[in-house]
Amino acid sequence: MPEEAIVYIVDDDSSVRTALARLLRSAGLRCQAFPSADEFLRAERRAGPQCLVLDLRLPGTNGLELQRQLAGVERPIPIIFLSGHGDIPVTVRAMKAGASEFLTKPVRDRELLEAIKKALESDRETQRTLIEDARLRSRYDDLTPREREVMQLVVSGLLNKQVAAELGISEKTVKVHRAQVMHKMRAGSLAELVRMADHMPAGARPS
Amino acid sequence: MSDVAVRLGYTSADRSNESFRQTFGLAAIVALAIYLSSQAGFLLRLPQSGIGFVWPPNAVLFVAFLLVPQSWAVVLGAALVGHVVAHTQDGLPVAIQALSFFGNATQAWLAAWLIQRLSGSRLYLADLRTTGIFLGAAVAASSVASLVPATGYVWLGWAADFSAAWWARVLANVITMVILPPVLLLAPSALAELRQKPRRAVEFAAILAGLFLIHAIAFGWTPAAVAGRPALLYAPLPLLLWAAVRFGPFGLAAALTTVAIQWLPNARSSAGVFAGDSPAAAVVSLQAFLFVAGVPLMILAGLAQDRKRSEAALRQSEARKRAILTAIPDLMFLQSADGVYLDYHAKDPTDLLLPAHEFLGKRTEDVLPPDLAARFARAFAHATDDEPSVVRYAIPIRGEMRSYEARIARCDGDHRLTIVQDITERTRAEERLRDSERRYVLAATAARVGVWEWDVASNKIYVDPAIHADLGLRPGQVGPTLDDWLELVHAADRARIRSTLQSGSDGHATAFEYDCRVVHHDGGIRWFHVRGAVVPQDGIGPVRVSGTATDITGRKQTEEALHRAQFELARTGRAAALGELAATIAHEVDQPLCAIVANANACLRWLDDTDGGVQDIREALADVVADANRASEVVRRTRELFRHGPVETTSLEVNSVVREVLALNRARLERGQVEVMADMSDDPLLVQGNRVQLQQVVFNLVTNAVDAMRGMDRVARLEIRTWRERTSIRLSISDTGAGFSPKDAARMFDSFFTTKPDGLGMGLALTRSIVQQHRGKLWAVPRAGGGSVFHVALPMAETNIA
Repeated sequence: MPEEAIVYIVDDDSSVRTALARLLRSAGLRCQAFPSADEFLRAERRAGPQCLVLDLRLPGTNGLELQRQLAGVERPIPIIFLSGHGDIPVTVRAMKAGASEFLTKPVRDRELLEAIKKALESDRETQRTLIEDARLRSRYDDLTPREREVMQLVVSGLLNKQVAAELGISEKTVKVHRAQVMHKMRAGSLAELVRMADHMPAGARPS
Repeated sequence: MSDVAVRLGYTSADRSNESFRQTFGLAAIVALAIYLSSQAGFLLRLPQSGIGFVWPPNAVLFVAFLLVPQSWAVVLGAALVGHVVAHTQDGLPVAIQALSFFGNATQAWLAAWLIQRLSGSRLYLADLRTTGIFLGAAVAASSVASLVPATGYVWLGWAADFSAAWWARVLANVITMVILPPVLLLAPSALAELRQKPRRAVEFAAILAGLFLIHAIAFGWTPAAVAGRPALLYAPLPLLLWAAVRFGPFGLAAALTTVAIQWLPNARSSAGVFAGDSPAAAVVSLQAFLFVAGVPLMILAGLAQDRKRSEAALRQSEARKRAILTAIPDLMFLQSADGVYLDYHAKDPTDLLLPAHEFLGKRTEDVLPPDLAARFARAFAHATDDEPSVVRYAIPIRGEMRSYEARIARCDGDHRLTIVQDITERTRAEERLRDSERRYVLAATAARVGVWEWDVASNKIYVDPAIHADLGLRPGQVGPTLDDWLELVHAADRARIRSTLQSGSDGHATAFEYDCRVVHHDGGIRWFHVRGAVVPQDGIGPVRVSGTATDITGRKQTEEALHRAQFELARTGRAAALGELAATIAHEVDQPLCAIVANANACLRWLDDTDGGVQDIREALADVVADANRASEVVRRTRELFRHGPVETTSLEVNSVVREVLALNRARLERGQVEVMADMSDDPLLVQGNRVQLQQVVFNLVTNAVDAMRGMDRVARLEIRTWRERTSIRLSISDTGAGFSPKDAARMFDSFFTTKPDGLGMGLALTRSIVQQHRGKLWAVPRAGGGSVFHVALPMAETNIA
């Protein structure tokens, strides 16, 4: 694990906060607790895999509200909701908005730790994908406009000859551009290039 | 005579005495009259003849026979005595006396018999018929009765020629009958009439004076001028005619008698008109004149009587008609067939539409508007003698529209009699009645109110067609008795209605109203609001109960829907509030539990891994204790929540609280078909307390009672009593519900204890809590006969004790 994971806790009840932090520590997890959503939002978050154990009922900005605000930020975070009672409509809303898990108080330690483990893994995966995407993106940005056009037509399955006809250039020129694209994108084969195009983040993906 | 005696009330002894005296008197009168009249007859005898000019005794005898026919023997005997005396004095032979008496008696009797037989009544000479009978009888009797004497005279040599003797006798006797009996018979009534009417008397006197004047002219003043002119014998004829026409048989007979008496001496002396005739011939001429003029004039006199009688009858009928016309208020018109007004009768001349003096001679179309005149013309054409045409119309009269009914009948051949009746008031009354009936029907229909009436004695009930219609029934399909209709009433309501009606018919209630369910023809249930009032009759008591029934199914359904909605709302609201409360409690308890669990788990891990320090474990366990205490505190506070804080109290009147709650619950009680009996203390029952909370107590107990009675078979009856004891105010609410078992009795006031499927089990617990807060007591006992009685005792307010 290149970077140490961290679990954030937001709960207005100090004893619950302390107890949850103690439980996570006993399970060997690093954690940081906040008494309110606003304080969590103000705090600077560390890098590395992370997740949020969030009490649904909070003074001020409540749990669902915080979830909505976090959905808009650059660095998303998996959320495990804790609630006093299983309110089905609220649960459904939370899950629909992307909650990782919804647990009721008093929570069983195994369930909570399992949910945290899952959330951290999912976050790690998300981070990896984000890095890959950023890498592809920077390679793509290096391509000239003509090379991007060629790449787009090639990944859509056209032969060099067809690409040449499409762009009104010679087949030879197409071959040069194509070799340049393969090199810049560090694609070993056409198949790899196609996969890269598929994984490009929305907006950067050739259409 | 005897019937007169009876009428006067004589005793039988008196009567025989009286009757003897009367018979004797009659005989004496008749004998005397015959004697005297015979003497008169001798004086009037023809010269050189045994036969008289007239023979008055015959007239006397005839009148006697006619007036007292039952005493004919007395009359006959007395007449014989008078006859014999007179004739013996005269010196006539006995045979002649006998013959003449036989002839005279026969003639008088026969004439009287014929007249009585044919006239059949005591009306003599009253009209043409009786006059004709009189004359016929006179002629016939004279003719027949003269046969024997005439034959005898000839046989005895007293007369030479039979036919001359017969003729002389017949003539004399007929004249006798024509001139004398009418005077004798009719004098009483005729003289009475003349006394009453002086003008008639003067007229009659003028006739007699005229006769004297003519006689004086004919024989006194100018004997030379009249001598030998027999036609002048007829000079009195106009006056005789006058007498016959104006004064009937009496007047004629009197005039003829006058003429006979005046003229006979002249005839016997052959003077004046008789100059040149032998006295015998002159007398016969006079006889002939009297006969020829007398007989037809007598017939004319009878005719005049007829005329007079019919004129009198006509006058009478006219007078009667006039009286009828005066009495009736209707307008009457007599018109020709083409509508010309010939006569009218109008109480108020302004009804004629034209000035009265212009009216006659106008036509229908000159008086009435053209269209109405045309209707009258048609009615005129259709009117017959026995089937009147009727025209109803309205015209403006004296500034207002008035209605009339004209009935037109044909009369007098082709005339039309129209009787016009003012029917304005009648028409208006009819219209008012129709209007009011229409309004009633309209109102009843609009309000869906039906009327019913129950006759207590016959148990029959009249039910309006509107009610039939509401129940989908044809009129007459159900009934006619009250029980037939009660069969239609929902079984649960039937007994209640029967007892309500019973209390009306017993006189215990004068008016009532209730709601009940009735089974519609299609099997559905309709709700009716029924009102009734008892119609009493003095001395008999209630005889009829009548009222209305209104279909309120729609209203009931709406009410029930509303109630269900309210109930649902309340229940939902209660559930939501409770849910909220529960959520709060749960959250409050969950927090420390969550912390405890988390802390405990952390400790367990540390103990397992020996990673954590003792310090960590100590801290965690300290927190566990703290959180456990906290959870316990939450629970304590929750209980505190149900405990009531201090509330504001005032001095309250318990009866008013009960009434407020009953008023609020009226709909619920009605819906539950609950009979409420409130027996409230008349004294004010003051307690110190909180109005809303005490209302809550009564409300909860009433609700509890109504709920307990729901679905029970027996009549749901809620009894509320309030009274005061020495130091407390008491309230009891009893129901006829399911009651409670001894097992339940111990727990029924506990929270969350309920026997209701949808109950929370809080009602009685809260109620008791409120009562206790008011330093009072709440308890329950089983009700005798099923159900429960809840008792509340509250301490009396200070003012109440004082």
